[in-house]
Amino acid sequence: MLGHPQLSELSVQIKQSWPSLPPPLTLEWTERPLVSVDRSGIPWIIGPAEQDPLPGSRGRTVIPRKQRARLKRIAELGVPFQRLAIAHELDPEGPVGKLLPALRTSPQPCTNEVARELVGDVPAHPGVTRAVGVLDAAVRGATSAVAINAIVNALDPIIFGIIAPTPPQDRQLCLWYPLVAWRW
Amino acid sequence: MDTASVRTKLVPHAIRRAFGRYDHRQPSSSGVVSEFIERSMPWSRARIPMPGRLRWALWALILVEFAWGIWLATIVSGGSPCQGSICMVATLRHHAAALLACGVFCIAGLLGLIPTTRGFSKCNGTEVIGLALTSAAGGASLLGVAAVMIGALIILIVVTTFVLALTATPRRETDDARPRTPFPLAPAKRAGASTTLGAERPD
Repeated sequence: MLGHPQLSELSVQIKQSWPSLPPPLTLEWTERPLVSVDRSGIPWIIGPAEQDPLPGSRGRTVIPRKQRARLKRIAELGVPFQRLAIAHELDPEGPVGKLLPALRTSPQPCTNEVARELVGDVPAHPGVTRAVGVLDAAVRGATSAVAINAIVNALDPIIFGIIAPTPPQDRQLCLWYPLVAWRW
Repeated sequence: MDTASVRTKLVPHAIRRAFGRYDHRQPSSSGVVSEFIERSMPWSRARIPMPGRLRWALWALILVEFAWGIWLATIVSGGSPCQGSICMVATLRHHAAALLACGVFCIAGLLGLIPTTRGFSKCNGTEVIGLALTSAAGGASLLGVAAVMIGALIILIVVTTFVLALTATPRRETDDARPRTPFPLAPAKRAGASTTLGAERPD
């Protein structure tokens, strides 16, 4: 936050008012999904929460129960977040692989369609998958052959709360507070 | 003093100043997280595809339960008599009303789940519990039928075994039907003759 006295001041004041919040990152706000590579070479796609490329049914964002409860507790704190952003870790071996050479030079904005293609589908819930597998095995009459097809995905989504001195504009530096993260 | 006004006083001036210029076309700053939670859904409610075999089995269960329910309804209403051992086993010793209740619960539950699961093609955690319960009720309703079928199968196996046993060729007969060995020594051995060639047999 060096060189951004407004953001520094804002960060200090928020820290004083809500000491339980984790330290923020200082990143540019983006109105479109942005594909980038972090320092360790892992590709990510970041974008506004309302344009989450991994929606469930009826465009609703899918969040595990525990993280949802934590978000509710954060909402009760009344922190004046202006926007929310979601970052999805991407599999380098997946569709983002062909973009990696270009991403090493600079982050690339993309359309919502491309973002959806890069992120893929919501992984199946292991409990639901197991239950369906048991029902299927009962139909088949072979309980020993219960197939657990749940994809244990090690990729991390992270939800950020965004605060800036002014309403966040495209490419404006903002404070990004990591609120919840999980592994599918 | 309500918590909102306390919070407003606690919020530093710089933050309030920042939010004073906030674009009101966007969601209100204090409710961004709350609105996001309202727009979100738990992971267990995300639907997963169901195996094709299970889908067809559930459709078949509806049809079977429907036919079975009609027959049980005629018994319960007295339209058709339930006499004889087969009917007694099929209705689990004249519990046709209970079986009918299970069948109706199964059919109603499965029919109710058809629209939400898109014809049993996708389901979430709640729906899979519903499917399990309705299927269990359907299974309970068909217990008597299953008992009759198992009994019939056992009788069929026993009868088949008897028929096979009766129609099978006796062993002695098969022994005699065996082709004679072509070796010249064999008759001598069978007659208990001495192995010494040319020796006379005692009477």
